[in-house]
Amino acid sequence: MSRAASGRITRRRRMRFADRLLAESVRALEETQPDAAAQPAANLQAVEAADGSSFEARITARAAAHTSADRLRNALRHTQQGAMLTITVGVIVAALAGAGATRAALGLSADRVNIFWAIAGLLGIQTLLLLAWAVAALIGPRVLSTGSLGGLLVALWRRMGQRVCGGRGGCAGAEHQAALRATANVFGRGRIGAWTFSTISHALWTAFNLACLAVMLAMLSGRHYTFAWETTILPSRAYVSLTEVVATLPSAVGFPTPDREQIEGSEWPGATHTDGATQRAWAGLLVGSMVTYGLGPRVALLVISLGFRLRAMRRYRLDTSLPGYARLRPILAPSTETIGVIDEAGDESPHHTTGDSAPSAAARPIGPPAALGLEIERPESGWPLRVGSTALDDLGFVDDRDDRRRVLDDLRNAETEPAVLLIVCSLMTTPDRGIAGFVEQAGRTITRPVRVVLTGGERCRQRDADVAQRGGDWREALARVGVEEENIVELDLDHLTDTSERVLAELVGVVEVVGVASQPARRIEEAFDVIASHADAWRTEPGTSEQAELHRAIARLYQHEMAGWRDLLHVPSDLKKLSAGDVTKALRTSAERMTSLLPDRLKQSPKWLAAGAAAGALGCVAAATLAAPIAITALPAWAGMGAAIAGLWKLAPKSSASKDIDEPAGPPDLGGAVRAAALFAMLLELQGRGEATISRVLDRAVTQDDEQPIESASHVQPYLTELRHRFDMALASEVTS
Amino acid sequence: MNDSPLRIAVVGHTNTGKTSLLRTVMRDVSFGEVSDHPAVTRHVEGAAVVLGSDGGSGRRVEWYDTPGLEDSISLLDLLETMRAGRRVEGIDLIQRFLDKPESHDRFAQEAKALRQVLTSDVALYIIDARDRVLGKHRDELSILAYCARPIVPVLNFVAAEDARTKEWREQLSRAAMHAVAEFDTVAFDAASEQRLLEKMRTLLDSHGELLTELIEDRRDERARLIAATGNVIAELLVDAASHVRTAPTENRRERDAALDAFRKVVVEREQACIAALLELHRFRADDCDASALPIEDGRWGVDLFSPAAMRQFGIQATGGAAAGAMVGLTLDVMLAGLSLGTGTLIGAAAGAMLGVGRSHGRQMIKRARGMTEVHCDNATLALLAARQVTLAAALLRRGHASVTPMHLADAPAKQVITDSHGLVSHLDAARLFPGWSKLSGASGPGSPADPRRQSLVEELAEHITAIIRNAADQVGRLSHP
Ligand SMILES: Nc1nc2c(ncn2[C@@H]2O[C@H](COP(=O)(O)OP(=O)(O)OP(=O)(O)O)[C@@H](O)[C@H]2O)c(=O)[nH]1
Ligand SMILES: [Mg+2]
Repeated sequence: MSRAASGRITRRRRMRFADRLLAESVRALEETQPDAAAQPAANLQAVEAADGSSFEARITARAAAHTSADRLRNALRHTQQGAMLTITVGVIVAALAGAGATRAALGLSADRVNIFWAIAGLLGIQTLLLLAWAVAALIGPRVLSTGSLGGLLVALWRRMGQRVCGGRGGCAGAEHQAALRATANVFGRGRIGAWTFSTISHALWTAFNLACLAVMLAMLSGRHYTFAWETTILPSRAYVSLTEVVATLPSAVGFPTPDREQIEGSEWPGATHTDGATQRAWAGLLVGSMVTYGLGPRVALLVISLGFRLRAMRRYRLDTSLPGYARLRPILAPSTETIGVIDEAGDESPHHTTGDSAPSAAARPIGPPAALGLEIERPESGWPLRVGSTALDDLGFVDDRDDRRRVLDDLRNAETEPAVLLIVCSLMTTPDRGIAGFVEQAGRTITRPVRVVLTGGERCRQRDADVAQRGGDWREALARVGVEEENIVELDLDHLTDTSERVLAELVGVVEVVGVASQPARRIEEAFDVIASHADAWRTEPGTSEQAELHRAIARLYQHEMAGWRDLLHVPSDLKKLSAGDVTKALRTSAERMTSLLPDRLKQSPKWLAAGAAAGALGCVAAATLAAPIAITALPAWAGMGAAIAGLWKLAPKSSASKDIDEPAGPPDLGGAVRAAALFAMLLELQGRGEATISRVLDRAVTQDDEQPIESASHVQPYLTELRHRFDMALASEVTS
Repeated sequence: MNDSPLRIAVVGHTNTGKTSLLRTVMRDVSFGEVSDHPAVTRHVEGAAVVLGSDGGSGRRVEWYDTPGLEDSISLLDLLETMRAGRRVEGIDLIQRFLDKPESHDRFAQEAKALRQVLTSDVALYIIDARDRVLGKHRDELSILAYCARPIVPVLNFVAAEDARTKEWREQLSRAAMHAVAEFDTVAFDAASEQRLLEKMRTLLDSHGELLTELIEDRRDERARLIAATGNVIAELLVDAASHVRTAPTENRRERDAALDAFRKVVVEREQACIAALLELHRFRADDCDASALPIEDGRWGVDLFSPAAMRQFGIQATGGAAAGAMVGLTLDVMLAGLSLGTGTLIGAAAGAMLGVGRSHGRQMIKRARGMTEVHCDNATLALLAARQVTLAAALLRRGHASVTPMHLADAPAKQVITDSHGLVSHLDAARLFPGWSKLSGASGPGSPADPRRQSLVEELAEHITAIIRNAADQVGRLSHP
């Protein structure tokens, strides 16, 4: 061991039992007084003095520095004094009992004493108890601490301690209670408890025996006794041998004992040996038995118990897993340390990537559009990309350095320049400077701007990732290398829909796509009219079923694009075939989808969250029932669905309730219903535009601060007009930006 | 013996969970900044594990979080241009790069990470196992290899469904890296952490002892944590089981008040226990987002005294309470005050929650005086136990990097319920001593100082730790099918 280490050990103060007992009292105190548990000064002191010592040592050091330490020490002293007092009283009682028993055994009046009755009377019970103790000690400490005389005394003391201290002002304090608990816990259990109880038991019996002997010697010195034995049915021989057996130990120690003749001559009636020598021999046997069978073992066991008790006390360790200690570990013995920032972020802008400054491409003739996949997997809709019947020029997948070099060379050296260079990236990838740098380099090889498709949205969402946020990161990273917002689209190539194909076609500039109308007609006005007329028709607050009908009416306007918005809302293909539980789940999924499309600002508002959830769920119902013209309430599963949707109104605001307490989401009132329907209509109008766009437009269109309350049907029309106006503005700014 | 600290540089592509690893290893929910954006960490930040906290050597293992590598392809290009076909040792190349101006602007992030690797004994290369193995990753590994430090690839996100663990292992072994560790920083697994440290030890002869000490320290720490958890829960159970209140049988208003007070005290006690567990496991109730736990502000979502809560935990109302209405009738005294619902629900709920205790003399006397005793019945106690065990098991499997709300299973594992019922049988003794309860308003025979109480707590704690260990294993098995 190095010198430093050994120095440390010698410097460490050795923990004593008393320190641990004090720590236990502190723990007991802090359990009942949580305010006393914060001990900054004591903690600090313990940590400063720690110097590599164990956690337990730090606990005891803290206890010693605790603000209540002195009072606790006092209380512990009182408690221990009380215990000593109890024990002293017990000893006195035991001695008195011993004296009394001896007097009773020898008898004051009669001068003839039945020697066996006397011995049995004084030694019988205590020998039995001694055997019981020995058995218990062999079995285990648990038994020892509950069944013994010592245990009884300790229980008595505990009760007294509580009673006495509970009543009197002086020791009624929390410190005394704590000291009492600690003492009881430490001395009343386990090995210490067992040996404490043993010590007390043996001490009491020692006192008993000492008193016996003292009184016995006094009586034998001051009076004349004739010792005898008698029997009615037993043969005399039995007594003779019994006496000899009993006498072996006393005579071995040196006490005079009667010989065979003297024994035989002492049978009553008709005793022949009544001389002084025989009586002295009998008295020797009596005293000798008391010493060797009574006092001797007890004294020996008392010493042994004291020894074991000391050993147990030395070996006693705090149980640091107790809550009162475990909570201190991070404070007293933190296993971690902060180092802090060592290489500060500079003011450099690492995003400023200009990998190589290749000259901008010269003008070349324009060729067909081309596409490359940058760190993506093969999309499920196939590769090379095709738009309608046109296949794009395939530049392949770019996964590593060689791919990059190859593609850049191809682009530079081709005879024509692609009409559009489409770079497909995945939303599952975190955009990094390497990727952005490559996009920039690729852009330099051509004269026209590159366009970027962000695919993989759905799979990204399955990872529970925040797709909108990831899209934002991509836009930011691409903006830094000069790709403009309008040249970036989120478009899931794994799940192509009519709408997204149209967007793709627009992006690459292929116009003649088969089967898809060039620009779908605007229907938001119609949709808002439907909302207004429904609201007019509602006599009372609209129920869930009325709202479902309204949503179906809106959905009917967008029936042709249903595949698209079904996808957007994650509506399963056949709702009617699902089990009741799954229907609820589907409704919930759609509700969550719709709320996730809301811009962050609206997500903070319980009102709009609830409207979003309802719009999603009702949209799901609308999609499922669009084919059948029956009333929604006539659906067999409606009861369950209606209840589930109604539940969503209450559910949504929970997550943000803490932020907007003053704006509780009520039951589906008129305003709520109109907001939900309007959201739904706007969503259907916006579908196919990418989720970020949807969120952005909604963000601009929906204000909530200056909004008029919608309390009656007459408020609905102005509200919708205003909303549509802002919606148009938002759309317009989307086009121009 | 090597007395110097061990220095570990945590490097990797951006957004792969480097900072998260630091958080989880340090059990520190507030280390650095974790978020799902690229280039969140722009500096080098360190934290140390000190091995002297419980009488150990006092030696340190230092971990350093670094900025993410983003443009390894261009950097490797640059290094190769610098090399210009000559034979230059990798480490000299890196040194020369660090002296170049590029290392302060374009490649500042990479330079910081590499500088840290050069001053460290080992580099942990963190991998998002869901990523495909791409050229940029291979180039990152090539550049790191230039630094001439042992590299331990660490596969993060291995608990994710779409983790490509096998693919990565294959690729890495092709690059002659065989000491690969799997360590999900969010779905924490103590055994994985041990294996990670062991992997490091195989590569670091000079720090073998220190790592052995660290491995043992971590193991001990966990054992202590579980033991302490058991104790916290055992205290709750003993307090709840021994808590008794007296309610007048006749006066309805007073009875209601007494029952309310009773429930309130128990619910508060449970919350205190939850708070204690969170603190013990070094999570915060008000972690980065307030809803990080379903226990909002340390409060369970469901009311403890609701039939729904019981059902959620699959606990059947005990004995006669199964026939709720029956109980409702026979225990009318107790029930009127509970107003938990209507009709038979009340019966079932109340029957499950509050039973008339075992008939002790004490109770007989009180009843004769027109008073009834209220205490938690076995089902309530089992519910309490099952909830805490579930929470504890989840906490044991939660990496300190987690930022998303913790999802406790809707219903705890069957085994936990069975075990919790088993636990309750140990609590019979506590029933006899209302004085054992540390809850306010407790009175009656027994006192918290009774050593038998402490013995009971210890006995219970032992059982509970066993249950928690099992439950935590099970959670683990679920997330690593
Ligand atoms: N599910 C899951 N998410 C993880 C795990 N590790 C990290 N994350 C998440 O991944 C994202 C990135 O984690 P960070 O620790 O910030 O990553 P980083 O490597 O430090 O990132 P930069 O500092 O930006 O380079 C965060 O949203 C984390 O919550 C994991 O093992 N499982
Ligand atoms: Mg980071």
